[in-house]
Amino acid sequence: MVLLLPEPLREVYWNIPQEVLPFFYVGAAVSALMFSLGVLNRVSVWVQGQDDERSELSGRGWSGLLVLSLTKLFVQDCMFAKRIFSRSVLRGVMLILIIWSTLALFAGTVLVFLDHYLHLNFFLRGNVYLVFSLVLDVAGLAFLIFIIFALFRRYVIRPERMILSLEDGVILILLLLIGVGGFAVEGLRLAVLRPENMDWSPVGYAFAQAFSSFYGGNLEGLKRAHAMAWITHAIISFTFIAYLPFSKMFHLFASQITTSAAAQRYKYGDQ
Amino acid sequence: MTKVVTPSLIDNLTKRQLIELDACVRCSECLYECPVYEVTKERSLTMMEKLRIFRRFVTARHGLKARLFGPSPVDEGQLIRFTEDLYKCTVCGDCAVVCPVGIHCQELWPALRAKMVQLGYGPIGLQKTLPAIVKEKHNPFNQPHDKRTAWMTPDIKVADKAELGFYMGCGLHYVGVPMLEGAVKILNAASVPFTSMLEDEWDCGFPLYIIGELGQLEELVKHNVEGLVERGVKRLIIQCPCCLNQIQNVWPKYYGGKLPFKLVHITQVVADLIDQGKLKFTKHLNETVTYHDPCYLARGQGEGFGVIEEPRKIIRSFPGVNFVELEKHGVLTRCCGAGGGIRRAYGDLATEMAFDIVKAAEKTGAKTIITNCPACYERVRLSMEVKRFAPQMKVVDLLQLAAVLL
Repeated sequence: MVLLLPEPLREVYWNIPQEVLPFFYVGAAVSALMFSLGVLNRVSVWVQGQDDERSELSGRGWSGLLVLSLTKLFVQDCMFAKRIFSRSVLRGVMLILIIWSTLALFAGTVLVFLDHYLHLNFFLRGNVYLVFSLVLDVAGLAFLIFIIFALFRRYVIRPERMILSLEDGVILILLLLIGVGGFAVEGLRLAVLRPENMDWSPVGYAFAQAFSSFYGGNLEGLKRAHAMAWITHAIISFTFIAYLPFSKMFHLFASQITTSAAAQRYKYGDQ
Repeated sequence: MTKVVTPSLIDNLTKRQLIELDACVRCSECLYECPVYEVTKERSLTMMEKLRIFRRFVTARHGLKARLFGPSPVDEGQLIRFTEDLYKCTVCGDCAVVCPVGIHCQELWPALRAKMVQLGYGPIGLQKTLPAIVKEKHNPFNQPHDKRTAWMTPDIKVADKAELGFYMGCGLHYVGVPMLEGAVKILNAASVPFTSMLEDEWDCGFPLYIIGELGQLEELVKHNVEGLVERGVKRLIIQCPCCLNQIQNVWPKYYGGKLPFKLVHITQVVADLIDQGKLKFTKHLNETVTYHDPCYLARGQGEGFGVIEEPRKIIRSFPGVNFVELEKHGVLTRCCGAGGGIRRAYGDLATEMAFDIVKAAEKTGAKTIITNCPACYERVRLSMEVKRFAPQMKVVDLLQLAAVLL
């Protein structure tokens, strides 16, 4: 028997046993704590630097530098990969894929969080939810395309001068697991619930078809798989968040500042 | 394995430079351009590896754990190896141009070298003799100061005072005399009055700055600026790209403010004179030539900010010339290996890098390499002698050639 819902609706924590939720919150808190310590570890070095009167970094402390890091993310060099495109169109496209998809997925997660805990009842129901789900599916697909191509380029094409490190592989595999895991959770949920408009989540729909076929319509099996996938997805995501500031991924906070500074260097004749 | 707790590793670094340590994405883009890596294939010499290793030292000494519980010691052997690798760089800035996150190693490496000098780990080899040489003789070539203007002949006109000044620099006075002769003849031929400090001129400080020896810089800068101001200089011509870079980017800090004159490279002046019809080349060249962009001239402080078109305008105005470009030209020009103090510490490495330019020029079919920097002029010619490259290509300075074709 399949369940049919009267309107598009996303129930947060659907099918997740209540006894799992405290562990989820603890995991989130630990991950956030590790992330914060990691960021503090790096920014605590930044603030010890000298001020250069020519630079907009002058006079900024902890919060000022973090705010700058956030605002500089939305400049042309970052959002449109200007410096990368001048070297390689392919790499420019790859960078745009990952930046825009990650921002969309992050924004989507934040909106789900806000909608649920502030009882907004806006993003997770009705037509808004359909569009929301479509955008996130497209973003997730772009994200996976980037990750798969990045792995292919590093480990199959192997450009002559690219120096590989274990860290690169760890980061890409974690991201791949997060991306695939997210679609697996969505697909398993859709396979059980079979909502009317599930083609608005095209990638999730494809996963749902695959899981339904694999489990042969066994609802209990699908639900168990969903719960396991959800827990695994949470663990891997928390691990990545905690690991981020201790890895080269911390460039997410630093590179937009340096890129912006590079665009401001003065030229001959200004003296 | 000796562990040391060093004094501060970062007290001379700006916030931006500290952020640069965290911005590297290890994309390997710098490897594609690094002339040192091209020759050595040593990973530890790449920008990304140096950043990674230095960041480890910084985290141990200054990170959150260090601030809460005290700094951790660093392995002195690693610090020494890092210093050696730090000095195996010409600071040509090619990696900075291609770096997707804009890490500016042309400022960062000299700052780190200054720190290593302060800690007693740098400079390397013969570089250590430089401060005493410059102190005594006001030039880095260990040549008598009173021989600085020995090249001048009575027909060369240099005014005592003029609004247009010419900072000639040690490289031109002692190593690149044909370059200087060419430049001065061109200015005299176009009746452009200029002044220069001549025997009063001291080194610009670049050879000391680039190896991290900063002790004499204030004295050198103030002496030169005051000398130029006394001569009424409002606009300063510079021919040597290293001097230009030093005066543009370092002198203001040691002068204590904005310099009291505008700066211009001599090829910009000569290109203007050609446009105004004040210079005409009457002799035919009838040769295939190529031009090597000096790194500090083409790249300046970053891509798009350097002097690239003016030298080409001059070359294209030579009658009968067939000009062909090197594969790596303009803002991505290959370094000749002369910069960064590397000649004094790792001469063989510098020679190999210079010879790569000769090989690249040979591929174009050119018989003459035109240079525009005393360091490139000397290093490229020397590399052919060391390598016994025959038939040797001609290496000629741009304005040396231009003066001949007047």
